[in-house]
Amino acid sequence: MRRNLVLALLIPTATTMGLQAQPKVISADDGWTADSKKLIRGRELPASAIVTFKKPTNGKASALVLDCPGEGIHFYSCPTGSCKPSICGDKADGVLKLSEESAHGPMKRISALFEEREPKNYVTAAARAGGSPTDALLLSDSRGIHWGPALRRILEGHYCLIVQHLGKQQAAKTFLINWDSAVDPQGITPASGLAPGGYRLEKGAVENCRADPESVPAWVVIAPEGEFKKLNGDWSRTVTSLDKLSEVSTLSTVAAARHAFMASMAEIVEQQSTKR
Amino acid sequence: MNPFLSFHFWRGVAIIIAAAALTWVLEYRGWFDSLEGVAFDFLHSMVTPGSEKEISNRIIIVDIDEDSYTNCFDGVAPLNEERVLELVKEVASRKPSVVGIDLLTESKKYAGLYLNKFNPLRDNQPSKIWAVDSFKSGDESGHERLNKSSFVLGFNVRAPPPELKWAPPIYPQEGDAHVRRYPRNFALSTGASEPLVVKTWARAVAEEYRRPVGSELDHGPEQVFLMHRKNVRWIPARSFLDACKPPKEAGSHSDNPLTRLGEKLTLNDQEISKVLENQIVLIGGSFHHKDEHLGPAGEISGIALNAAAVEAELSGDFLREWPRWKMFILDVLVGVILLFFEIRSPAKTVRDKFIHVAIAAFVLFLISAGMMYFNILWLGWNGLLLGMLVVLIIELNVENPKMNEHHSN
Repeated sequence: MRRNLVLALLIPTATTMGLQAQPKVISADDGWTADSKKLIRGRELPASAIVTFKKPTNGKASALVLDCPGEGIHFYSCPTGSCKPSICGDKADGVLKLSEESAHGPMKRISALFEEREPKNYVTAAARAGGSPTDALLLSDSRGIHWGPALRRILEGHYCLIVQHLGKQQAAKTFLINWDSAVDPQGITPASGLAPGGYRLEKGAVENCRADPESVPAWVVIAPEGEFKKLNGDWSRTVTSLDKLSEVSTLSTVAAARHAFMASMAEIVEQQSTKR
Repeated sequence: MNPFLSFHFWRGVAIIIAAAALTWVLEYRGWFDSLEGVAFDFLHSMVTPGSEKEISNRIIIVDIDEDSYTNCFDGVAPLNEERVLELVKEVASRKPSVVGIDLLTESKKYAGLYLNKFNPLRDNQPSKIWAVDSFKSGDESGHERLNKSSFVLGFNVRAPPPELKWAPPIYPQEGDAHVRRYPRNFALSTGASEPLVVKTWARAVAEEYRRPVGSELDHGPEQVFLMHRKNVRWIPARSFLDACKPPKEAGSHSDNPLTRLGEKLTLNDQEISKVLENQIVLIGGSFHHKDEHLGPAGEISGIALNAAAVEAELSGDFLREWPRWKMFILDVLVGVILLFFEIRSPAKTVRDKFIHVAIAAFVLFLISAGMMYFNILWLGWNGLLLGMLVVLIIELNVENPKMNEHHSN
């Protein structure tokens, strides 16, 4: 009896999971909904679902990718800002619909399940190496903060810099910057309310000032002119020594050593700032 | 009694089919990625496919290693575009057959530089294939990759000059974060009414290499599994740039585990020209572990991964999976054969049962290795092992062996 139960459980489970007939969301930008519920990866859509896109505030992308059984992958984009496509269908209101040709044989038309593995996330195998701020000692003077040394590995463009104090529990401060090293290698930007000290720096999009998920945060020490001159020599020497250390040690060990030194610099700067 | 007529046999067949079906679905969903990954990596290190003998040393990697990065690019990335173009120009002047540039040149401001200062790069002798990053992180989890407009040498890929050839060097990442597969084509949304089906970077490079002799590449499956062989040769990028060329006595390579596959060359100018002539040259960067991926043999730089993909295109030295439905039939067939032997010589004790499962696992592994020799990947034995374990558990915990014997008779 029990063995029949085991079989009875195994076979329908496999069948139900394998022969999915409903369109499935592979990915969806913010703004896409089905029956007023936000579309998320993996959600299956019944044929009766009403899919709409309404451009969210500060939203830029409008891509929706659906896995349509028997038809392959459908891409939707909504440049008008408000769209209502039919699911996996040809009718599209204001939508650019792009279909991946998927039929290479009769079996493939039935389901990709019979042919290949589920679509995956893709990685790009190419060197760029930029994109994240770097640990740096920054000068603060009457013109503002000189962000340049921390932005050496960032492509030119408009960014939101998200700055969070390393020790104190304070709300993060944000600053907009139009970064172009060819125009202003120092990247000077007024930053009122940012006291000298140690900070965690992240790069975000101008539209929403949310940290870029691919960006790795950096540590920066902001020092006023007087302290900067004194600290800069020590910082340069330390960076040179750490570069040598990196030849025989791991990057994480070097980063830990660098952060330890930066923490001591931040402490000096903050103590001097308090005295004044 | 004929074993094929026994209840024991048909119950076993039913369990094998159910387990294979369940595994089939779970495998599709990536649930076995880690398990299959371990098996694949082990097989990869053990088995040499028969096709390896055809592999030549036609691929040379010009690598921006740590040393070149520090001395030629001031240790700053994104890399100085002007210096990148200078490197490409220098490499191209050595008359290779094709140059693949695996460096992203997405900054719009250098379009002018490309147009005005580097017109010689428009020359199609040799052909140059530029890498394009066509995707960006999409949702909040940061995992999705969505299409976006993308730039190469400052040009939007939707409207590049005709002589500017580009392709995306992209690879699917398995559930265990490893890169083992190589997609040969990719559908790319460009905002037009139909998607642009583009060749991936390695395929584009390989086709350019083959084009002058008119031979076509194998029309194989859309996705294959890569083999990583030690057939590439490495030259540091620094050797090509006058501004940062190493002194003669110091032409060494940075010690980077990402570039351990292949032979590292330390050559003078004349020797470099001789080595590069009519070959495939791939320009990439292993510096600072920025373009680092997990391959079957551990960490590997993106340019080495691409080199393996180019070689796979040219020599057919890759592993292909049969369509999944064929694999399912194979899973069931092998399972039934194992079941047959089990019924002919049934295990009498718990210890014997475990020994039988272990022997079966070994046999399955050998079959898998044998298929790998013929460039076919079969990892579906995960399901068979699962099926056998289900049978074992049922027999140990649910059934009374004597009753089972009674049923059979």
